[in-house]
Amino acid sequence: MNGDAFLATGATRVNRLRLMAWTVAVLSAGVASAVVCRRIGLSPWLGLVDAALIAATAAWVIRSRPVTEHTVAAHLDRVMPELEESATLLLGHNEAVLARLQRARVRAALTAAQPEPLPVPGARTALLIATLAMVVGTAAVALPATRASDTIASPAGLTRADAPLAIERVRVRWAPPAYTRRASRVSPTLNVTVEEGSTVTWDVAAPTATMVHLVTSGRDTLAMTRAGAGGWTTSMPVARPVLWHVVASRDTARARSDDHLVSVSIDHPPLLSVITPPSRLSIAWPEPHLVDARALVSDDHGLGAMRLVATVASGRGEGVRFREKVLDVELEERRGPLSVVVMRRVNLDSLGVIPGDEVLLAFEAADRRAPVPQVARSETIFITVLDTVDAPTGELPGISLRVEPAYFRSQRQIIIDTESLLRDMRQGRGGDTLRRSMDIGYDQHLLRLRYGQLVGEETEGMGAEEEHAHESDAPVTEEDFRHNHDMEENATLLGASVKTLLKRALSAMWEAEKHLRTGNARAALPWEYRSLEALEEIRRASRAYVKRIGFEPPSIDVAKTRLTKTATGLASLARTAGVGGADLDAPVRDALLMLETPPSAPRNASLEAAGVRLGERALQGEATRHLETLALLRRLLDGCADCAAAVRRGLLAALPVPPAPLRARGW
Amino acid sequence: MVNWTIAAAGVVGVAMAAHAWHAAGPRRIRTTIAALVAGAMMAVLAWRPTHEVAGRNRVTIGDDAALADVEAAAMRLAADAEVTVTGHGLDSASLGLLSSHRIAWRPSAAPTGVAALDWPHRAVLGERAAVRGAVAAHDSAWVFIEHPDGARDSVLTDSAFQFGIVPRAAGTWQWVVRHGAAADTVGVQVAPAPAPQIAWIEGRPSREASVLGALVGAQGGGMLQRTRLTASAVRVTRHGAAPEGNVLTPDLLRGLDAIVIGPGGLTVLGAGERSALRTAVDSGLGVVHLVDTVTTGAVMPFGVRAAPGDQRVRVAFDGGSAVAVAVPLAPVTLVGGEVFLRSITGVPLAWRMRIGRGVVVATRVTQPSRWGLAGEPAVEASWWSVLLGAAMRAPRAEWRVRNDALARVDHPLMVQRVGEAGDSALVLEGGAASMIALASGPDSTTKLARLWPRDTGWIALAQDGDTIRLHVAARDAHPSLDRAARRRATSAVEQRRPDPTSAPPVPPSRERLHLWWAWAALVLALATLWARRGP
Repeated sequence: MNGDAFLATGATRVNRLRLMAWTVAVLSAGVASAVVCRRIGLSPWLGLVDAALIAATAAWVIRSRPVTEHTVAAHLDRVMPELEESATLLLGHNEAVLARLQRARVRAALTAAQPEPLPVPGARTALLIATLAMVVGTAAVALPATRASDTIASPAGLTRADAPLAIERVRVRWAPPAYTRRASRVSPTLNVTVEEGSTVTWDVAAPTATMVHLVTSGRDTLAMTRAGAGGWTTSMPVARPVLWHVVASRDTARARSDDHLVSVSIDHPPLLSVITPPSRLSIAWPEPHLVDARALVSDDHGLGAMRLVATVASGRGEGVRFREKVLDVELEERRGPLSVVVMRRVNLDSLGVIPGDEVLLAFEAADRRAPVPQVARSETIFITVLDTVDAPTGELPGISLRVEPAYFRSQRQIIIDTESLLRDMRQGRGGDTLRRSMDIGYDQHLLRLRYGQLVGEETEGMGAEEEHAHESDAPVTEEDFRHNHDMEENATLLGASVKTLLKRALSAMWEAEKHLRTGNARAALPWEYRSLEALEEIRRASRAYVKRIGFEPPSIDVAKTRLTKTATGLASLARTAGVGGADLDAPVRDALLMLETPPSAPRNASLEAAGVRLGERALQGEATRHLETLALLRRLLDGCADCAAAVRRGLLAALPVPPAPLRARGW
Repeated sequence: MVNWTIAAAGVVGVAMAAHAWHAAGPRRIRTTIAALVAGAMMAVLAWRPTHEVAGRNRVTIGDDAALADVEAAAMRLAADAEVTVTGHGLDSASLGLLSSHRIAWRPSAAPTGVAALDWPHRAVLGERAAVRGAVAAHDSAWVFIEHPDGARDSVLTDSAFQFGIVPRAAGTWQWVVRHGAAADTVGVQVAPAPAPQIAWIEGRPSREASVLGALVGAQGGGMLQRTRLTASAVRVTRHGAAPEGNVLTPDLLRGLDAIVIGPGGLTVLGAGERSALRTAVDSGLGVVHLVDTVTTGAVMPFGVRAAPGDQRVRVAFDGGSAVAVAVPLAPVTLVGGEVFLRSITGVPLAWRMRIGRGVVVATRVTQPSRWGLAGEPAVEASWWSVLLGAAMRAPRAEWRVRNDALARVDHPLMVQRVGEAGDSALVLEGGAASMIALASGPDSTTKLARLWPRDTGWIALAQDGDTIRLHVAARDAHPSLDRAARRRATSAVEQRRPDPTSAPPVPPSRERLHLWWAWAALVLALATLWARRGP
């Protein structure tokens, strides 16, 4: 081999070796990653990502450090001093005499000696990666498998009758009700959340068992049926949360899984939200009698029939009549798969509304739940058709105030008096108009005070010391100077909207009184009218409360039952009261005490009872925490001595704080 | 009394001398003398003579000295001797041995860490307890407490700290207080409160009695409720394990911890019942009055007068935040006694007065069920706990341990038995039981048990069915607390140097003579005798 060929062959050999080393590294890393991913429950295809990363690294290394004939020549110059740093001459075409002579010497030297091969750059790194990957992959295969969330470990391959009894695998799948239009699913974990009414199926692999049962928190024990070789299955509909475990048995041997939970996502009724009109709407009789009612309707599993219910309230006082009419609605807009906007233009005339009537509108929607759909109703829209010529009558919303008619007449009387005064003033008669105006202002003042009592306004004339009376020897604090307007004493039976109207009326009365007392009756008149309008509005709003008061208790004949000085049927008696609610957590408290004792049958029985209570708590909430404790408790019962401390912690955390005890605390 | 060993040695010596004297030969005299010396030395060695030593005047003791070393030094010291203590000082027990000497302390640099920690060694189920402490640190640092259920609280401090704990289950539990890398484990025995026995007398039906009855019943106790319905009819309701009978006889009252007189209750008590009640209060029974009107009576020591009505108050318990729900007060106020419960604004709510060995409590809050109705049943329970706790009959005897006491192996631990205590108690340690005698305490109702724990773990002390369990840490546990406690104790003792003239004189002690010379003389004499037998 001459020198030129030697250089070319050397470079090719090194590049080939380098490529082989990195190929091995990439393959090893990919396989190891796939194995590890599978062991920890992830997709084995994630190994491809790792392999791609290593391949990218290899490409970068190869590109950044290329091996060429020059690299080989430099290597030969470094390791063979007899070449006299002339190996690169083999690559050139220098035809000078000295160059040819030197080239010949180099070729001779290369032929005579066996040069040390060029080390493969990056090969050590690649081999290190490959070795590490092989070690990790081997360890992942060799080490005992951690319990995957959907399987219960057991010795693999033992399917003979004499093999140890074990539950090798449990799988939970469920089929939601048809109306939800959701597909059947398989859970990757054993704690699942299913739709209300789903049919849940458990598939268990217990090839060495002769009988397998599913035990649920509802005290139901379902015998599982065989399904294939070593497989068992059973199903049940689930409408409430269920705690379950699987028990496999063969002769007297038993194998039991941990406790797991099937939670239930409740099917909620439709949700309706009125977009237009506002909850209270007043329409004057001359205005158009058309109202556009819109609502946003949504449901968690889809909507069924929808409609608008219109109720017309006519009449006044005790003679209110109601008529109800159901109206279809139109689909105006879809907002996602489970929400729609529906609307209906309501023509009040078609409902037979006359001035003074009220129309109550409410949307109704049903979902697709089977066999009985759930129906929900929106908030009610109150539409009042104003009757401005109607004379006010005394009736306040929802409460019976006998003096109420007098209030309305008084405000009307103030307006009449003011108009009379203004008429007299225009005609130049009327005497002392200032005094008459002040008198009317005083009447307005009295009226305002009486209405003020209804909304809990300050009353005049009461000494502050009466309201803030307290112990003379008590220290004065900041609290004593604070006036809490939201105290219970200030609360009235009036609704928020009625209170707003009353306050508006009172505000107008304030203004009217101010002008009347300064002799400016003309300026006071608009405020008096505003006050009257507000009071009228309150009166009209009263019907909404009339319908809500449904129950009227029968009248009591007081004369027969009270103050008769007879107490027939009353005699001394003795009775025993219950202790109150039983302490449901008593098993947990007992188990905590028993955990301080060595293992024994009573201790195990106590721990079993605590486990039952923990299961109940898991169904009520905080399932994850209680299930962890349950699993530890099960291992403790199976002989895990190191689990006692963790079980104790879990049981203690499950207990509520007891009430403060009754005991002597000393002076 | 004859010391037979000395006598035997003398007899042997005399016999040998006589034998040598009678033997013929040139060395007869020398041999006889050697035999006499050998006999005498044997007698001296058997006698083990002592000599009198006068007390020393000055000694230095390091902070690592054991209690036995301190005790030995104290025995050798003269009455006016000065003891110089170095390092972090000595513990209380060691300083007690040096109480009659002058202490001078050369302290080392003050260490950092948890310098004080106190906690209830015995807590009551459901009753809030506190773990308090202080750290010595140059800067603020986090102090953590780890609860037995795995929960964790923390506070950033450079001085005092406090954590609240509400035990949720009976048993023995451990809390861990961490400061930096150091950890102090504190053991707490949680015991349920004893089952109470209550009676409730009222002039008309109320909701309050049923609520309290349920609380008493849930605690394993019993409540007898007697309600006047009409002038001639009463209703008797028994909650839980209530006592038998419905008339307040001395026997019935003797078994009660407290009696609650509800609204109108004073008026329905018969003359005999009032008399029995007075006697029972004198002997320790507690009475709680719910006062809603101006009233007087035999067991109503407070003056009651009318007050403005329609007043509502809010309360706070255990230094916690104020309860949002306000309850109404009866339109009365009381005179006399001591106010022990106030609203958050300082309005007096409850008074108490000691009568004989019993306590009478009166309150203006007659509707604590308002809290329960407003969704705060825990507040209602706390109210009754505080109110009845002030009045209930104290237990016959109970164990007490200082909250800052450290129970460690080979360190003394003092436990008090307060009340009608016996003279001995049972100690349970490491599965072994033994009896210890209780020493008399500072007063007639207190006795002391001094424990020397030998093993880590829980040590129990029991008397009359009442058992206290204390967690014993390792010998060198709580190093920073130990150092801080020794520094405090030593500093306090150093500042109150005793007057040497008032100290009792220390009698001169006796020490054994060194007898090496006797051994040497014996060996020489025996060698001389042996040499005589040679050629």
